[in-house]
Amino acid sequence: MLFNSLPFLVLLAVTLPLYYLPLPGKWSKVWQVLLLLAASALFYAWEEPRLLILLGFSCVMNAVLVERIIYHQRVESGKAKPWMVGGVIANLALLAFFKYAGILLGILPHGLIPQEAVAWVRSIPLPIGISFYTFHALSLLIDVHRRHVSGETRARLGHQGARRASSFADLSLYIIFFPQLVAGPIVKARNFIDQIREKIWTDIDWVQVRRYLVAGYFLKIFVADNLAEQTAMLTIGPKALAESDPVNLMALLYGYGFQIFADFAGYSLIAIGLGIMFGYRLPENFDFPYLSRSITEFWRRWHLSLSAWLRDYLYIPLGGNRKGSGRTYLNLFLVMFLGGLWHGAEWKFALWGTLHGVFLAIERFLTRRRGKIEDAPVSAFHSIAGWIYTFHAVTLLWLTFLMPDMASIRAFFTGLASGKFSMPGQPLFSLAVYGGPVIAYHLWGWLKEHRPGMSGRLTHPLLEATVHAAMVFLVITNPGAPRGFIYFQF
Amino acid sequence: MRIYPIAFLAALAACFGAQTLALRLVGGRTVKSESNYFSSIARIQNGNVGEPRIILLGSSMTGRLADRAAPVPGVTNLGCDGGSAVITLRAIDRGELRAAPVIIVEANTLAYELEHRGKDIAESIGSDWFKLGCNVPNLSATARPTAFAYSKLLARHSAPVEGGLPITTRPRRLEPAPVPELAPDASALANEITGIFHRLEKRGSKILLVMLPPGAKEGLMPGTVLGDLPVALASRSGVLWWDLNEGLPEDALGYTDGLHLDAESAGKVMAQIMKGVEAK
Repeated sequence: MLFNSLPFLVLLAVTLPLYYLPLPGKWSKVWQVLLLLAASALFYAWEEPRLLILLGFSCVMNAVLVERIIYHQRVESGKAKPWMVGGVIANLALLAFFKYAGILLGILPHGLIPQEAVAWVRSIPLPIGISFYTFHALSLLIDVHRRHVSGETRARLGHQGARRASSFADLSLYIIFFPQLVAGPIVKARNFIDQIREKIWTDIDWVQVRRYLVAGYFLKIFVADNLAEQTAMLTIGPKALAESDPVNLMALLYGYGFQIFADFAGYSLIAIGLGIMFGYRLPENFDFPYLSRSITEFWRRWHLSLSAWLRDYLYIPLGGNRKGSGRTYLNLFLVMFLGGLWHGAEWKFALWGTLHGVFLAIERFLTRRRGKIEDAPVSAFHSIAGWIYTFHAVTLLWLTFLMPDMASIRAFFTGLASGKFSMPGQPLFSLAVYGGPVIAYHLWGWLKEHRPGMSGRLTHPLLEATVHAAMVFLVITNPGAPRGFIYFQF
Repeated sequence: MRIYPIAFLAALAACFGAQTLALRLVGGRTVKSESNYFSSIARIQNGNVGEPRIILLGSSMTGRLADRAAPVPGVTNLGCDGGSAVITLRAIDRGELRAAPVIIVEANTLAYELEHRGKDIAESIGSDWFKLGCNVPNLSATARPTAFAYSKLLARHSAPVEGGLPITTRPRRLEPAPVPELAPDASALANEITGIFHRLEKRGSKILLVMLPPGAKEGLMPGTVLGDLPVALASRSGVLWWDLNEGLPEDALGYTDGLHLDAESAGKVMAQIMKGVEAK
């Protein structure tokens, strides 16, 4: 089910009032958790009910694993770590089978596996959101084992006997809570499970809800969906791309940069707004990424929850920057390679991640004596030069993300070097109209960071209401053709 | 914080008010949106509201003709960008769109249907959202705020056109034989369209199958599996056939991209079609 679909709005309209039914305190929390579980299951299974089997299996498996880890830590049997390691392997195996089996079989020597078996494996559809809920489960197992969750959470997840059902419900809610189930933000166990308690209608921060939802739906429906029709031309095939002219290609590429931001940031803002409606605070996922002046800074502003996850559960366990500069570069490279591959079982995603890793390593090498690039006091010229470099590097790297094959990427650059000139009306018009809000959003971010007094004055209710009304008007009257979220495929 | 809801509703009302006013100023419809999809939907929604004497069915090649080049009284353009006339023919046959006394069908791109091109437009026709747009002008595709701006930009390049094409051909019926051999799927499509044509003729419509300039495109040339579809269809159905490319000098018309007519040429082609229709 999509956030921008009528069935979802109906689900929300039915679930929300039921969720806040005034029940006796003892029953209220149980009712709310069960209702959210049911709504989440319906949300997830709407298009393909069979997917619930795998999701349900993941919940049951991880509930058993967590209970075992807590039990063995309690009795100090020394078996907690094997349970945690086994759980991580089991989760990764599920992910590998459903997401990476095709690419892994492709590496094996021809003939080693019967072609029918390879074809069968490749025909298995990718369970939507598997990358996200697997990361949730891994976070849960590792945090519990590291004792990085509160005592209350440990007690809650480690129930024995009849109260196991309560543990299972809480754990399942963490994994399948519908606002973040399919495309994040990736929530760490320690930040979510403690929030599971009775929720009260009057605690909802409606000001925040409307800000997140209006901005999120506007970015998705008005900006991303409209840009998508134009940027689809980037995937029309190598021949047509090679014959295109540079202005057209760059307009489409910038458009895609704006589109992917609006699509994913829009989704994240909607998810956070919905979370607040149900009394849960999800982490921010974007911090005005196109204001970045380096690729290093970009990854501190883009898909924050994935960056934090990779840092906590991959980069730091690999040694981070504590084992010398050579190892640091290798770790950066490896984390970005795997981070790229996390996006999809195709080598183009690995290439995208690897190239980001190369940029990160080069930037780290060049600034090894100066600390973080963005923290160093620099002139306005350096700031602007850094911004131009970062924006174009990030935007060009989206090509590897978007293009179906290397031939299309080569054709793009062939077209770019063609020297033809024209003023393509539709792409330029779309870039101006739909890229404008993304630029305005980032200007707003710049004001918040550099001129907080001025940005504060711009939040006057009268001005905010007028801007929100204009955004809602455009969502209603000027939507793009409805399409799914880009990150749903991951 | 009562000011927020009041200001919000007032601003929203102002937005809709401005849109309504703008819609009236442009005569109830815009010419073109920057979105090909919504331009097609807008044409089809508009066509479904009035009582046209002639309707044009086809792809984006047809989309360049009446309305966009210059309004032609009594003529409604239902060109589907990225699709073909089959989409709207089926919708008319199902009763989701209105027929007209004269139905002009673009022959160039009929074979696109075999690749399911324009599927998104086909799925939209008849949907609740589509019907809502037909009944509430502010929510129709023609009233998209960006369409006002884009139409205004396009209007700067449009100029009134006079005269038709330097050709002497007229619509005619093809002899029933010889009929080119078609691939099974193309043959099935030709049979389906023939059935629709006959049902429309029974309902009182006159059908004219037209090959627009620049004629068949690469891959759809006569002698290819798909390129023979238009002539085979004309022969099987017995409807009027008119190839506007017969006797047309190569440099008589201009194109924006080798396939789509520029505004002036589109005006000339439309004028020629009207001459042919009136003459019959």
